[in-house]
Amino acid sequence: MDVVKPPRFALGDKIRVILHPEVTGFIVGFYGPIAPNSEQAYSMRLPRKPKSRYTIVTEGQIELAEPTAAVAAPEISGESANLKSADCPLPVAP
Amino acid sequence: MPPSKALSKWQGTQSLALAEMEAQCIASLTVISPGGLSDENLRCYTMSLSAHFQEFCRELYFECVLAAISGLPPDQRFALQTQCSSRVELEGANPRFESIRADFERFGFDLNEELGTKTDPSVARMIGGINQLNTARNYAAHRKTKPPASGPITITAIEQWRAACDGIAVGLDAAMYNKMAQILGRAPW
Repeated sequence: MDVVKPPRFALGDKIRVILHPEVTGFIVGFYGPIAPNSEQAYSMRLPRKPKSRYTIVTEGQIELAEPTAAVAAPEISGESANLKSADCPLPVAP
Repeated sequence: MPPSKALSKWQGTQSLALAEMEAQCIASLTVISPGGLSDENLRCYTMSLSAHFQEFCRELYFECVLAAISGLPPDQRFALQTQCSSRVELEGANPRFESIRADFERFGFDLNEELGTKTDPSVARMIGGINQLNTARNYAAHRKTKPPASGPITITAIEQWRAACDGIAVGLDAAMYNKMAQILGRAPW
């Protein structure tokens, strides 16, 4: 019996197809371990204009295209750090 | 013949989820529930059954796709996967029998022949049940005021539709096992 491993990728991960590195997209769904040897399968969105396309990919075919760790907001220093909303009045209509 | 992963899931976790939904419906029918809650539960159960059956059909289709391309060189697989993922009816449309046919017949056979629709009256009844389920699903999902021609949604009707889904699921799984074995020259799963 095949051992089912938990999915390595999460929804929203930006991924690339290992054998076709020019193809990048996003994980948008899980099909579960339906590939041979109980490999996980995902729905991948391929951003295209005017309409995105979708394809099935297996875990062994893809890798992360970008690290997904949350990036901390850059620290603002200097004069702009002391700005308050009152310093930025809404534009007045002419 | 071993079941596909999709069928194992349909008969396992999906069947349990539907059984829980059914128990909730029966409970709300046997107690005095506030303001039409039992009707809401029946509508939810109908939509849930249709959704789970759609999930089963879609997963079986993709399981077959991945099995079919597993014999190809790795650099050729992605192109075929993209081809087979294009305009899949079961990704968006209800699991009507015509949608199921449209996707599975991409493997190059007549699903009616494989299931014995014309020779076995029980298969024709099951297909009728699936199509009734999807009409009722639309009635529930869109809160239509006119009940479907098959009659109002009742627990007995849903049980019959569920039995039809079970029958077609087993038949489809067997048909695909045989077809994939023919294509691959070995057991597909």
